[in-house]
Amino acid sequence: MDNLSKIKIFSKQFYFLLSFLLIAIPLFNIGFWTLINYLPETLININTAGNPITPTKLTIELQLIGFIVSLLPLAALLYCIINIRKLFSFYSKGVIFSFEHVILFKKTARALMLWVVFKIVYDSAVSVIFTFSNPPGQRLLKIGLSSGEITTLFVGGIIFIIAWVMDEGRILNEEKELTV
Amino acid sequence: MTININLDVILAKRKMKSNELARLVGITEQNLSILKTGKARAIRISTMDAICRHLECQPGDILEYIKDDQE
Repeated sequence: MDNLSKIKIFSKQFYFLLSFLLIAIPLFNIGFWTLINYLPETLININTAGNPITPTKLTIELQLIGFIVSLLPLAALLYCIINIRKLFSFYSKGVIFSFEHVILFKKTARALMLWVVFKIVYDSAVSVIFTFSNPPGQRLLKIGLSSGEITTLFVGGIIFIIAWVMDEGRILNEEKELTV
Repeated sequence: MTININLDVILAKRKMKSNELARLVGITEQNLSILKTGKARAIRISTMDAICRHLECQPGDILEYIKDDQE
């Protein structure tokens, strides 16, 4: 099997996986904020930065605020997935170098960097929401950059460079196509 | 463009159709069209060799340099 055939087959599989994620991630987010009072603490702690002194249930208003703020990183993440899905859609058709690819790579890199910014805002908001029931003086606002965010920024930077490399590849491909 | 492609003229002189030349040279009609319309960025020596062989001409008969002010 040649490389192009492999690219086409695996890209089709990735396309379907990303299509599934496009539906599953928003559903998970809605489920998370709707059922947050009933979820096991271990599951919630994965996604939160602050813990209440005495565990109390979140009010519907705080749940709503949390959900709205969560839409920021969610939107950036979905935008990133949409772009990568488009990229794999091109690959599954055997189109490897085109101007659209370059644009998609740049959009993906921007989306990842935007996700980092929104994730910091979201984590900070969540720390406030989760400690809102604490007595005054015990409430918490956490602003920070975790290793996950730094890695994402790093990956975003690499994707930007790949976009420039892809642009050079596109120029070479155009030269090849116009060589008789 | 300062390089004129006179392939159409030579083809007419030899009374040969484009698709026939493309078949003889071993390139696609689309590629021959790219060459004829002057959109080509480069031409392989092997392609030029095959074209000249089948049209019984010289590369200079096909490619013509024209100064910009003469265009």
